[in-house]
Amino acid sequence: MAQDITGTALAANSVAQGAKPVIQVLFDWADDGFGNEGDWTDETTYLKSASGRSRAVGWGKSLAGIGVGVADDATLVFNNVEETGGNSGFRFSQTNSNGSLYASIGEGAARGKRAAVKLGYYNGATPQSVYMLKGYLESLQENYRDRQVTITLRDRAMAAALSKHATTLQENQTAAQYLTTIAALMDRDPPGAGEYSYDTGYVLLPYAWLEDEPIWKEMGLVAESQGGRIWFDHAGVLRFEDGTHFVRARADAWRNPLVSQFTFTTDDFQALNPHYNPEEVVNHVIVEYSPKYESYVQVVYTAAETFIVPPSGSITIRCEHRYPVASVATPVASTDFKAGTAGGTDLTGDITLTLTTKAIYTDVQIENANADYAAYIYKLQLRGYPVLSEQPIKYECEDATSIARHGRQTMRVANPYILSYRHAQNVGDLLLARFKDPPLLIELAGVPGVPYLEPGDRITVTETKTGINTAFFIGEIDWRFDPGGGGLIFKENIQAVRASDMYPHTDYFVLGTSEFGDADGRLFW
Amino acid sequence: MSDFVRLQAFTDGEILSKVPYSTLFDNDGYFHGLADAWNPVQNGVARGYLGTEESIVIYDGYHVLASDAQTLNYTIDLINTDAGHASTITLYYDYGGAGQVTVDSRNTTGTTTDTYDLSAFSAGFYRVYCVLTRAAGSTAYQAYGTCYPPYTTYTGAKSFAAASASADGTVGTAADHFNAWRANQLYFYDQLSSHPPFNSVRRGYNASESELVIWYGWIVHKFRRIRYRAWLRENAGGNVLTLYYDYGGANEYAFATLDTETEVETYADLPDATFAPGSAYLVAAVISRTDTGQDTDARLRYIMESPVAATAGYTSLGTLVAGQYVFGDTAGEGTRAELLTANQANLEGRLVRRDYAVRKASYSDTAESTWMYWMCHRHPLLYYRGQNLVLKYGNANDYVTLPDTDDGDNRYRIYDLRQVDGLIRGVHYHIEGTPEYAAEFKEVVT
Repeated sequence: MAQDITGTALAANSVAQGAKPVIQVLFDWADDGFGNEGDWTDETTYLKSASGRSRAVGWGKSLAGIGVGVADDATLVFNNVEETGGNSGFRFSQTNSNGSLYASIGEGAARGKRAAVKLGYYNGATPQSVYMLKGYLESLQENYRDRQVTITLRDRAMAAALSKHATTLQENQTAAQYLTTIAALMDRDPPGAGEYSYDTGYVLLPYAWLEDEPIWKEMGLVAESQGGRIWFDHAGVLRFEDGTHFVRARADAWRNPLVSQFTFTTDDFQALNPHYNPEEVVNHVIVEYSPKYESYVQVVYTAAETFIVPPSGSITIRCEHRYPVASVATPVASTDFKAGTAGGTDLTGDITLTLTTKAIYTDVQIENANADYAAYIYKLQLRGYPVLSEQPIKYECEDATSIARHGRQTMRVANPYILSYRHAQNVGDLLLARFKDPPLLIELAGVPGVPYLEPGDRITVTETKTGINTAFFIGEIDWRFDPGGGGLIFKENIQAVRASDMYPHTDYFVLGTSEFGDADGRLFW
Repeated sequence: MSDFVRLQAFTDGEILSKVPYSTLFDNDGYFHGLADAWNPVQNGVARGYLGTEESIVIYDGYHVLASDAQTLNYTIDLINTDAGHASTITLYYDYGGAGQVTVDSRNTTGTTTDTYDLSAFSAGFYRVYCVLTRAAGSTAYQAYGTCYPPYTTYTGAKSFAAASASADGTVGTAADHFNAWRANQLYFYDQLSSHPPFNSVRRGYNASESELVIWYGWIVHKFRRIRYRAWLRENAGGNVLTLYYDYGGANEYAFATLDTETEVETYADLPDATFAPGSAYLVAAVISRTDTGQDTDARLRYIMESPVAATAGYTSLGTLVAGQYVFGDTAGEGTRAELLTANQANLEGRLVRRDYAVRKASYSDTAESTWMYWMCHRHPLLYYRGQNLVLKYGNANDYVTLPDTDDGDNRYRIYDLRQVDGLIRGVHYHIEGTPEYAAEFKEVVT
């Protein structure tokens, strides 16, 4: 989806001759947080050049238009000016304690600082811009000789990628519900109101849990299981779009995947390079899955060690379950735990257990109320309701015609959230349909920067010599902003995939809109 | 995962994927199969005093109470041969437990059929007990008590509601169609009963009687085909084993007569339009002879009912293909959306929740050293109680030893039958030892 440019002249100015581009680079040196960009520090004055990339990633296909996610990054080169007045030395130095930014970036503190890049055009004397990236400072590299510093930025997924947590077992959750749960666990900047937008997803997740894995990786698995993608858009909004997203109408034109967000004609690009990439072909898909079920209460943890709890003291141990569990039963004295002194006197009655249970482990706090003796925990077990896996199953599908032409090109999908034949069939068949023949890819080189476009946007390309006049989905945008020789330059290279190669039909069945009938409403995968 | 796949709620505006749409058909097919599943006839008791005792147990068993099936249905019957010397038949729930209640009792000749609200009990395992008592001064006067197998019925909040018409030209909406189909499936799922066993019996004559009922059972009539496995040890002296439906009733029907020394595993069809679906009928196994000096005994492995043919009115659908029109764009597919509505109307009433209490096999009136429950595998979780239990299926090497239960924390146990290789749905198995309860459940009872 594009960005909302209502009330601006960005659409016209993006292709207007002589339109003057504008850039703004902001850093949150004072940790004011997202949503308070007005309080951030504008460092645009020192900027020498900027470039960046937004690209669809995942499922091994660079331009799928869908995939596990979208990665945005930017590289910014600044003049590392020498400061004056109360400060001295390089402004962006991480070692100059006299620098005005030292408190924010000194001694390695730069990494992870919030940052944003906005790009646009002047509309007359008024700058109009939208975000090209909102995220975090990833690296800061100083170049003493050239008196410059190179800063790389990463989108907000960086925080999700660095966050690892465990959850309780989530049963019968929609993809949106589960994503809401795990997004809230991000160590930094969990998306607040207005900072996320999730499709529901079309396959229920019977069992989901996080086991100390990166949240971003988990989100990718969820998105993949729904044939969709998860990504932070240029404005820093976390978006989950399931596989039907790109053929589902939206009321707002700017976020409607069925509406072309921009039409590129011959005058708008320096080169148009269409190609069919055999590397994109997949004609044999194997989807591996293991059905799961919740079983009856049984022992899920047995201690292999005698724990010693000091008199009137407590210890906490982490008990890793044999299987993920829906819940753990309250331990019963003598049955689940026994305690005694080193001399054998029974202290079980002095012991209190307090449990904090996640799907894969339970933290057990053991308190010893006896003031005279250390308690030796001779027996400790936990009983719970485990989620067990059936034998792994493979769903395979292939296309003989494609195999004859391209050789067998196999893709394997192993996703923990695919638990049934129907679901595996959905993912396998969708991938096969999409990639059994190489999709038409195009590269639009040297197009004027259209700042509000994002990967996944529908665009139209019209060119007579190649005969191309159809809709595409953007897969990748490379942008650059620099002074250039004759003035400021904001240019993009866009790679895109033909829309009809992604979705062969345009009349899928929409609940509440389509009619039951013999010529209305097709079944999505 | 269960064979029933839960779907998330549909919403207007979403694109219909083949996954949930196919699953709607799959789930209905699952219910269609279960609605036609074999049902064991449940063991009850009709007996009088044996001697001069002041009380005799009529029924002793256990019941797993679920929070969405809390209405106990019961029938007790008393025949008192001398009204001046009363006997009383009393039915208890949670007998011997902290919450023991008297469900009902009667001391006059007649039958009581009623229900009892068990909502005061939390989900769990309870003893069901029926006893016939008389005063010390009345031990010379006979009475007969009968206890039909008690069961609980659905008390949950879900109900069936037909989806709106989905004829050609109708807008397909979440509320009127897709969520209606989904909600009905959640209701059907709640209607899946626990699967009780057949109390297998082997028994001979007591003395020199010319005939003896060796097994009583009741069944809420549903199907006409009666499947059974029975064996007669000795046919000399005119010994036969006869199996009756509606025994002693207006339409008593002998559906099997064994007069040879053999074991048979076969079926018989009850006469059409004779027995009313939903009504309970007495099923009995009787051994009889012309020469009372000639002993024999007989064994019943199981008696179960099943449909003569697949219940009519349910239509299966072929494979859905992505890109097809949802309603159907080729011959034979033009009414597939309507099919969901029609099939669910067909399913309504075919699945009725009845979670039976199960009588202790050890108290079956048997003369065999090993008592047993007989099961036709259906649900994944086996709740059971008993000692020295061995679950046997397939050939001689296919068995599982079940851990013992006790009267402490392990009053009953659960065994996950999915962990038993080769024990697939429909396979017959039996539980030997001293079983006091067994029933299969679709999931952990809450």
